[in-house]
Amino acid sequence: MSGSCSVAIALAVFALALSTTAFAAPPPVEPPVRTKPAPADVVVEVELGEVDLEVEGWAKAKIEVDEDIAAGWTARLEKDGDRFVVRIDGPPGIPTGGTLKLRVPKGAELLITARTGDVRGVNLHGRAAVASISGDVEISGPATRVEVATTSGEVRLDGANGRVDVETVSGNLALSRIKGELRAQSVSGDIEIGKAQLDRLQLMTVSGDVEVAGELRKGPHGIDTNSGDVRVTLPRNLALRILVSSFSGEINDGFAEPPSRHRGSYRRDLGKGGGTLEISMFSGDVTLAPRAPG
Amino acid sequence: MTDGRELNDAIRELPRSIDPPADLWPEIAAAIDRRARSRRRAATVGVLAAAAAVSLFVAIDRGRDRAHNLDARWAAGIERAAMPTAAPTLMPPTAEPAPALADLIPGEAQLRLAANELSGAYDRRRPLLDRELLAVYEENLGIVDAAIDRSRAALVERPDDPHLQRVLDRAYHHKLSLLRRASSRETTR
Repeated sequence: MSGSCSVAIALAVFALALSTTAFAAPPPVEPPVRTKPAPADVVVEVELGEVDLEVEGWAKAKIEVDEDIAAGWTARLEKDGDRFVVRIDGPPGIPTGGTLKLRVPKGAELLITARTGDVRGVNLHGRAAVASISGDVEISGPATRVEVATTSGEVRLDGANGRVDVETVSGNLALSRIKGELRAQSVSGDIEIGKAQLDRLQLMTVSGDVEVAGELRKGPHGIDTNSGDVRVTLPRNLALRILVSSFSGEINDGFAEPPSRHRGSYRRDLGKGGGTLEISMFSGDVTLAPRAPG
Repeated sequence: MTDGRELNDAIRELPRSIDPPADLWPEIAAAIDRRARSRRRAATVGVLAAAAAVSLFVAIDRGRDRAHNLDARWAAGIERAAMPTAAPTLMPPTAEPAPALADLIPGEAQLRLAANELSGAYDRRRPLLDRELLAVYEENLGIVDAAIDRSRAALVERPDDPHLQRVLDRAYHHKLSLLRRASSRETTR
């Protein structure tokens, strides 16, 4: 009797243990890592796809990822060798959208690829390279190196201080307060440069219009377009030699008293001892204009 | 009974093994040699195929890295686009041979050849592009082609004009740069 009782108790204990195990809460799913310590010059790679990105440079020595992404997708921060990679994970075949928010040390190097997602970066002091198809790109801060390549996205840069390279097919470029070297190329996109202080400027378009306002030092500087119009606004006291060659376009010189019109090849010397700006075009018009006082 | 014992004795006296006749051996040896060589060849082909596959993947991987490195792309510049790259030269010609045009600028034939090869790559890529992207590329290729045409037409009238030569050269380089982008997997997927 006592033997069968012991067996019954043992079975009951076993059944209880089994049921406890069976109905216990599943082990907690570890959330994606969202914050990592990082050196000031860390390299961060971001693969966006259709998601927008807002990235901000901050004074902290860490990377932080936040997100507002639809349809069960999530952002993951991973270390890959010396660099960090931010990936968007989710069910395949289901389109997603939303915004990825990223904070990085302000001197970080950013390598961003996007398809339709927009990229907006603020307070960036290091290098930012963005390859996009149709997303817009907006970057501000004294970045030492900015490289943007896009097919149809609009590009807006502000305050870069170093070297800037931008390439687009049809997207318009608005680049302001750039210091250092600037190279930009488009087919039909317009290029507008404001308040620049450039040691070297190289612009090329096919039909896109070009507007440059600022100071052109050292050089050589060059603007090439086939059928786009060019307008260059410079301070009167700048030292610069301007050489214009146009096959059929009109050259308007607002520095002349009174303003004059020309065709073919034209030279305008501003001051003495400065750099050279060479403007080459086929059929577009050129306007050289003094910056308004104040 | 006696016959059976004699038969058993005769069997016991038979040699346990015999050498093949000498005149058969050369054929067998040749056959073995052929099979061994065939195996070695197969192994060699396998090794080469594996090496080729590895090289291909490495090349693709490097290509992806390069696509990510905008610095290198810019440094390469559109000038590099003028040179036919390895991939396009492997592709069969797709365009009808255009009527021969006289070179109006140095190297124009090479620029046209590079453009034709990249156009072939773009034509193969086109069905994969979404409508909006395709429209952007088609419109801008039209813009560049028009720029080439009018620059050429002007240069025919003034063949020694260095400014027009430069304008035409730039237009070609814009076309090559655009076609490279339009035919690249990295920038059209």
